[in-house]
Amino acid sequence: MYRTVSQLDSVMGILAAFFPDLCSRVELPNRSIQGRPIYALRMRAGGGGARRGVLLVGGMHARELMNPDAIVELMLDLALSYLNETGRSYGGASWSALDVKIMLETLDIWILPCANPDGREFVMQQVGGDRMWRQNRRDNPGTPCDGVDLNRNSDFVWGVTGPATSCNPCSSTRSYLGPTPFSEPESKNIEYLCDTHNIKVFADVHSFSEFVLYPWGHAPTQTTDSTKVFTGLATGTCAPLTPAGYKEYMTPRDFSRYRTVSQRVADRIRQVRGRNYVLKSVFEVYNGTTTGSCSDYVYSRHIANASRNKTYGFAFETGPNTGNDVLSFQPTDPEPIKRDAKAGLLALIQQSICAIDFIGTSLFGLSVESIRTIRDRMLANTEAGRGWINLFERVQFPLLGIVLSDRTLTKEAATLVRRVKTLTTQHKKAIVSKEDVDRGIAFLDELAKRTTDKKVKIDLSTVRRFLKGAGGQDVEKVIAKLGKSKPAPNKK
Amino acid sequence: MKRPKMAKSHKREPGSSPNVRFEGTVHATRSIKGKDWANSLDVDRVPDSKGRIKAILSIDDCVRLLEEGFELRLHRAQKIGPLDRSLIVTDKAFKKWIDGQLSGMKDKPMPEPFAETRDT
Ligand SMILES: [Zn+2]
Repeated sequence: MYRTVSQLDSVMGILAAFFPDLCSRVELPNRSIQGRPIYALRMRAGGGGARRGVLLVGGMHARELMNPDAIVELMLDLALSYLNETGRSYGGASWSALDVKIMLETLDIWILPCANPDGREFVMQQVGGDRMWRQNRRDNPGTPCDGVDLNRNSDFVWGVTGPATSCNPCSSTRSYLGPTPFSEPESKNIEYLCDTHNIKVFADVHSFSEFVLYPWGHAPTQTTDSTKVFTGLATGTCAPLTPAGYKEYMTPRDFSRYRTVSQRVADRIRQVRGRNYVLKSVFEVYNGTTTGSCSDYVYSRHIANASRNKTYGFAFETGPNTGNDVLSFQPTDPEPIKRDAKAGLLALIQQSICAIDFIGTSLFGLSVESIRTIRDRMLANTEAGRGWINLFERVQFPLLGIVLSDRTLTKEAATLVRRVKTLTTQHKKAIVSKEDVDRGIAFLDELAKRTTDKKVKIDLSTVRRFLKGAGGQDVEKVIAKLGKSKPAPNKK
Repeated sequence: MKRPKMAKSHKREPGSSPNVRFEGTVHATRSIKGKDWANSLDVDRVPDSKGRIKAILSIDDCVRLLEEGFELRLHRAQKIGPLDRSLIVTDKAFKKWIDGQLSGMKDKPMPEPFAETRDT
């Protein structure tokens, strides 16, 4: 069963009315083509100013009916779990009350569950409606054909065509890219949310095929030739991408992050009831060029304009390919697929937290820019360095729960972040003292004592071993060593 | 040539095309030159688990593709029309669901946040 646009809006309105300290509903600046208001909901708990934002979007393609329902249900589930201080399970995938608390108190979670309300209404409209409608309801002037594909209308390599991207308003692809980039009010709302909020992670939820998708869509993704950047490509050509054989660059660090996070999302989805979501780039879906997609656009923003924050853009394709397209888009019982989707989105939200950012910036008002610079400019450039980044990213969520549950540990974590910040902003020859090492090790030992997760214990001992060897060395040497020697768990 | 505006009216000339679309796969025949033919088919592509070129095809699409020399294998006919009413949540069912979800929650106090996340 599928909710109407007004019911989806109601869920957000009711959440905001019932729990004003937790949820705020905002009307986005651009109404739909047919004049419908379009709403987003922000969820956050606790105080603090600047936070990392996550944006979950659904319903961009009208006929993909399940996802708007799944997204509003997820928000309701999170609100109830937070307020009742209970965990949340979807099939075999579970999150504790503490997990939910951390997510809501560290992030701003934004949803735009029904990005294309006119399209959804048209799918459900009993007289003259069409359940296979995909685009918005733009009346394209000078043609008898309606609709623009909102997921081809973003300002990213816009106007370059492919198997499912067309310049013809009457195209049978149902993927007309519109007269100009962001010509459509519904897609402009995504740009608005990215411009006005600190969105670090974005997911655009589509159906079907059981994929977790990452950039790029216009061309195959490669990590070796950094001269191949989309800003140099011809756009608005209404022709296939040139030059032929072009492959778009992504930094090894971002590629690794995309693959790791996508894999964690897929692993969590598998826990629900065993469905196997496959990782792909957007290009690989049809083995051809897709331009103007929202998930590519949000990720491209920081490359097109260096003053913008980086946003990791993902897309999900929820639900299996049943071999019957109507039932794949609109299953008679969407409940199991919605549980898969909610688990995947929750996994993504969890992966969006940055412990150092949270403890340093949000809790103690420290700029952690120098630490971020080391991560992005030095460690990210080598395989070994990326191994250390991955290690940190995998242990941070389980450990953050332990740290935040104990005030003394929280303070100690902040002290250590402050010390690392001092060392990394000082002269490169600043020495990591024996006291620094002892203090770090005492902290790691305390965490190891409190965690029950064997894998986390192994990672902590790997860090411990490295730290032990760092005493008396200068910062430059320590960082160089991290970049050269992969984190190796003790074989014993 | 402009195509008929399918969205606004599904009616056609009596005896011409029925009110259906097809799910099918498109295959190149010997008359199709080049390897990138799949990129310019102008059809409503859907992913296919076997890697075939699968699409939702209107009658017009079928006629055009056959004329262009493609072979079509149609697996299923879809009646054109809105979502079945029985799949849409009624307002009554919606109210029952949301009331059930929120029962007892109205004045639920907010839990104490982690100490440091409080506004001070
Ligand atoms: Zn879609």
